[in-house]
Amino acid sequence: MTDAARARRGYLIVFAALVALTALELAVAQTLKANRQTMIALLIGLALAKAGCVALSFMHLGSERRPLKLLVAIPMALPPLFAVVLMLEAAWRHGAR
Amino acid sequence: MSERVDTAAPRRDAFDLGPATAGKLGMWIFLVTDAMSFGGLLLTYGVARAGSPDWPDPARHLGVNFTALMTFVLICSSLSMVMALGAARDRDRRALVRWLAATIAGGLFFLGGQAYEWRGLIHEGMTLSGAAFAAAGHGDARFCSTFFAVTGFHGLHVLTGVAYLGVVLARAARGRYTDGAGTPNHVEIAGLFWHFVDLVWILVFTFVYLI
Repeated sequence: MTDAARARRGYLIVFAALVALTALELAVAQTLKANRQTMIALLIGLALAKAGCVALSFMHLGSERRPLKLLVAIPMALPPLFAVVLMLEAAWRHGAR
Repeated sequence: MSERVDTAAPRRDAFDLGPATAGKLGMWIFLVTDAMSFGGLLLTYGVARAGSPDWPDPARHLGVNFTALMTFVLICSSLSMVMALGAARDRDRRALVRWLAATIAGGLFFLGGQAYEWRGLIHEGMTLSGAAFAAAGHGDARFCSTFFAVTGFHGLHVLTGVAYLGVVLARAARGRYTDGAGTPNHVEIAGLFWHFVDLVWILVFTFVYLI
């Protein structure tokens, strides 16, 4: 198998994984409504897995040199950190009223 | 005095990006800043929702199944984009043009689906201000404004991406990336933008529609 054929096979595998993860997300959202915290944790995990597949495989970030990976990864880590802090604060303020 | 010749292997620069071109680096930097914009919008959505006592259930008001189909189409267009890059690297002009056309078709389907969805939601009383929505007792008005802000901003990116790929397609059809001294660099750079649009939608679909 040539390098190009191997690469295409890899893309098709990632595509199948993305479709499967999307279907799994729908199933989780529809069946775990009663257990909301578990549902949210699973959905966030699945979304991050899908985002990782796209970034590492389709965007070829996985095969780039370390400086470029860090250039992307470090700023991308900030919004989720802000999100956790801000949402916890908003929920606390709502509970304190 | 004889000169000392350094025969040791050259030290790699700490910021060695290897084969990544300046254009690719520039696009990645742009995407990181664009991610900050989307991050800000999604954070606003999250903070508003976390602090609201009457946030509506998205499944009751938004068409989750239809949006799942739109998500699937966008994922397909991401696949066709990476196949287009493969064709460019193989210097196969016809395959490159076909895959680019498929990618653009996926983007246009997504835009059409979003327009159809927005039309239905506006008809049911969801507007940018959310005033009518809240007055009808459906819940927090910010549900509407954050929804339209997030999906509208993303839709603008899809529209821009379709236009960008249209230019790339026109150049590809003339052999710019496959014939003679042409290189696939520009196809790869355009592909980064398109994959980013898909990646952001993956997050928007989860946070806005499913959670």
